[in-house]
Amino acid sequence: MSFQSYVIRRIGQVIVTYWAFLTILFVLFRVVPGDPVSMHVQDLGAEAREERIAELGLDQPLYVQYVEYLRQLARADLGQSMIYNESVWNIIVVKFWNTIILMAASLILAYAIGILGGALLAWYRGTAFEKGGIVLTLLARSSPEFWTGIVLLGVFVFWLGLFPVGGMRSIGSELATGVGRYLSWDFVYHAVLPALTGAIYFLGTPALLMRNSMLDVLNADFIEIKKAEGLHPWNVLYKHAVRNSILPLVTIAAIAVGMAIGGSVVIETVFNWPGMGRAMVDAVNNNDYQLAMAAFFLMGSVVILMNFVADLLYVYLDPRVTYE
Amino acid sequence: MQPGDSNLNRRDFTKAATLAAGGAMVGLAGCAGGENGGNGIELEITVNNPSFDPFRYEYAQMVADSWEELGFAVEVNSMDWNAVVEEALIAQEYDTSVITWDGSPERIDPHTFLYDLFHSSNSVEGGRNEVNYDNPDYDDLAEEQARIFDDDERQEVVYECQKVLAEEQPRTPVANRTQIMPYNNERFSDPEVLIGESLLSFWNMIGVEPADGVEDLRFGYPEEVGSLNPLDYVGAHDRTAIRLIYDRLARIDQDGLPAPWAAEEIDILDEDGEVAVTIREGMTWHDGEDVTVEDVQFSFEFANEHSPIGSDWTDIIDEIEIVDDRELVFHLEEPFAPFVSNTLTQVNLIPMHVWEDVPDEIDEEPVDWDEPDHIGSGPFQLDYWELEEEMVMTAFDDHFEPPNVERLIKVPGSDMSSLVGFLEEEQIDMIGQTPEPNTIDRLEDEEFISFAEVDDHGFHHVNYQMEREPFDDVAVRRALARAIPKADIVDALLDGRGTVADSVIAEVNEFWHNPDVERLEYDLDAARAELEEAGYTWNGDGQIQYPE
Repeated sequence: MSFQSYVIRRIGQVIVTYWAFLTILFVLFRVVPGDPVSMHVQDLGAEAREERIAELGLDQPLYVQYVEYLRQLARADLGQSMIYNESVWNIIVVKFWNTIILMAASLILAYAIGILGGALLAWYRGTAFEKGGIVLTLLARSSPEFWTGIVLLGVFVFWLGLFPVGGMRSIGSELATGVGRYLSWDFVYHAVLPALTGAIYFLGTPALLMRNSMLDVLNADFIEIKKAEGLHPWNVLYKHAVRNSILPLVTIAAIAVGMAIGGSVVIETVFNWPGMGRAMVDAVNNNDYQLAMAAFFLMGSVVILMNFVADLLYVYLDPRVTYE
Repeated sequence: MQPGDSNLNRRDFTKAATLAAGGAMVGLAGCAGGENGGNGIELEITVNNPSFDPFRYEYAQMVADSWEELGFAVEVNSMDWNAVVEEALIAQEYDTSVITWDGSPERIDPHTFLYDLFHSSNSVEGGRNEVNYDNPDYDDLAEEQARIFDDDERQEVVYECQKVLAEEQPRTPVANRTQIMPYNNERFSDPEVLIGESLLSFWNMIGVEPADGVEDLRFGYPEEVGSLNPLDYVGAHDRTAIRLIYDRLARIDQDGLPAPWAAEEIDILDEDGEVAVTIREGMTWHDGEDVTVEDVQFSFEFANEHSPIGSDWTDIIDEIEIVDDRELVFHLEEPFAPFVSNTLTQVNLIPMHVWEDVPDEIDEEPVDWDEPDHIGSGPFQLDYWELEEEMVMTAFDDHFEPPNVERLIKVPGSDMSSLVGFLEEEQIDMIGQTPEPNTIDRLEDEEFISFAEVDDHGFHHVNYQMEREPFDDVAVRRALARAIPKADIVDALLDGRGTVADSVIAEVNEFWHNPDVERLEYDLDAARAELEEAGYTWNGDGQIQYPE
């Protein structure tokens, strides 16, 4: 099979995956009890309630709503938020970037520390450094995000008073638009703790994976040869061992991006971060179907696409992987 | 097959058989409800799960324990709030439920609680009389109170309504919670509270006293505003923001009574339903145009035509007549006493020159239109709104009662604990909701934090689905009411921060509350006596049985 036909077949699979994903998404939100006016049922009379439901098109049979939903997506329209009365796209685009930037910072930090740490753990195999390191890594990996977040808040905010307790910028400060909102010290100052929380949570996987992969490589003959050549140990570590061990991390990193977007829910709640995760929770609580489905759709898309990219990258990076 | 498997199968079989038998019994009875099962009369309490409101969930358990003691077989069925709404409030498929009616300002007028909640015309799917109370004599009383414009005369009928409800117990009021909301006393003093809203009140937003040099009021609330559309004020929290930007002809003052606001004078011309309104002189919209009587007329007619919730208030209006450039007369279809306290305090004034083109030239439904400038005539105007970050409003200095602060910044919290963190770190100044008792205890230790305390006229209560047995029997409702440990609930779960409720009109609502309603105090012996008199018996295990 050629590379092209492999790519085409994978695209076909992505489309089927998408269809299944959208259908499940649609059904999921319609079977749970409640509708977008449930939360306000005591503020509305029976008549006003029915009027509102009809206006939202929710009195239509389910299959009509389903077809309308697919049509709408085919037009690249995410619909209208039922709670905010605003185009879902407008609401979500800002939040999407708020989350992406926070998670990018977390992941870069996690993978930088994780890869380096994992390599060192393997390099210093059998020492107290390795044992302590593994315990710490496992601890970071198994601590729930909200707990890590609360501990960081307790230490750095309530005890040391070094950072703000939450939010993305100082309350009431001049509002910058576009990229400007991420290019201020105020933003960085607010992003440190949530990014650190994410980094601590994410770094376990790359660290442990890197260590395992390194151990394999370090046992290989060519490393012995490089050592015998009299190269500086750091040179062997960096130039030969690390570079050859990093491959499995590519797939994991790609998938982790998808997971990180979903994992941001907890961090965003703890730190009052105005991102996708919080929007998603609010949308689900208020039965704002359109907004919730759009948020899940975007998140799911990142996972599906990143998996796709990982598959392609793998083929490209490792000649041993075939298209079959 | 493993020995354990056969055991499991047997258990499953028994369970299935019981379910089938139960189903048959339900089928025979026609409609579900309490049954004379092997365990006596069974009943279910429907309540939200603890994450939505721990207080309701916990007191439902206390009620269940006490009803068990009386001899009922009680099961507490806790579910997601959305499911409670679907089952207990809309489809009305429940035995008993633990529900709260919130106290918004217009509900200080007794009409909503006495008419909407108990009049038989609202006993429909999704209607507010979800207990299906149907008493023609009560209907007459509820209608009569709505017709009397004179407050003192109306008070007598309102008292009578409460008396009937206390005797018949279609719902058992349990408690009014005290609203205790924290604020930063170094930055603000003299909060202007209103019953039912405490710090969230309109009066506080414009009237709280900032310390020297303080220009911003940073107000936290654990929920984001949904919409600022003046016609789509569905959410109670949305209304608290909308009313700052858009004026109303009248507002509920801090005594709980309607007072002229954008109106200078409101006169009841005729008890049959003619109300004259003179608007204030010199009012302008945020864009500088004058507020005219035509704008006022337009606001009411437009709401009636385009706003589902607005039309609830304006349906009663037959015609609005413009008398001169400052006076209008509202002709009502029939006398409606809550017209001033409900309709005039709820309908937002909107500028005709902005809205008249919707939906003809601007192709949007008015309830969906996001008016870009949010032009109203209220004491605040919208500066900007970043969803789930902050909403910034600036003072409208040309207003007849401009706010004491330069800016109001509404900060939505992802949850209460994150807001409390903000307050402790002095990043916000106030929280518009009551924290849980243990959080209050902690905040009390902070010197820079004070609390605004006021009772809520909204009430926690237990509902009975009166279309089901045995809740159609007044003796059972009264007995169940007597077995609700209201005082213990207030003491144990609220740390005493609340009032035991005996009437649907709260004690704090002084003018309308009837202090002489029958009090069904916690007394299991009295409860048993009521049941005995109605013919109920107990079997050898102390389980209650229907009359023969």
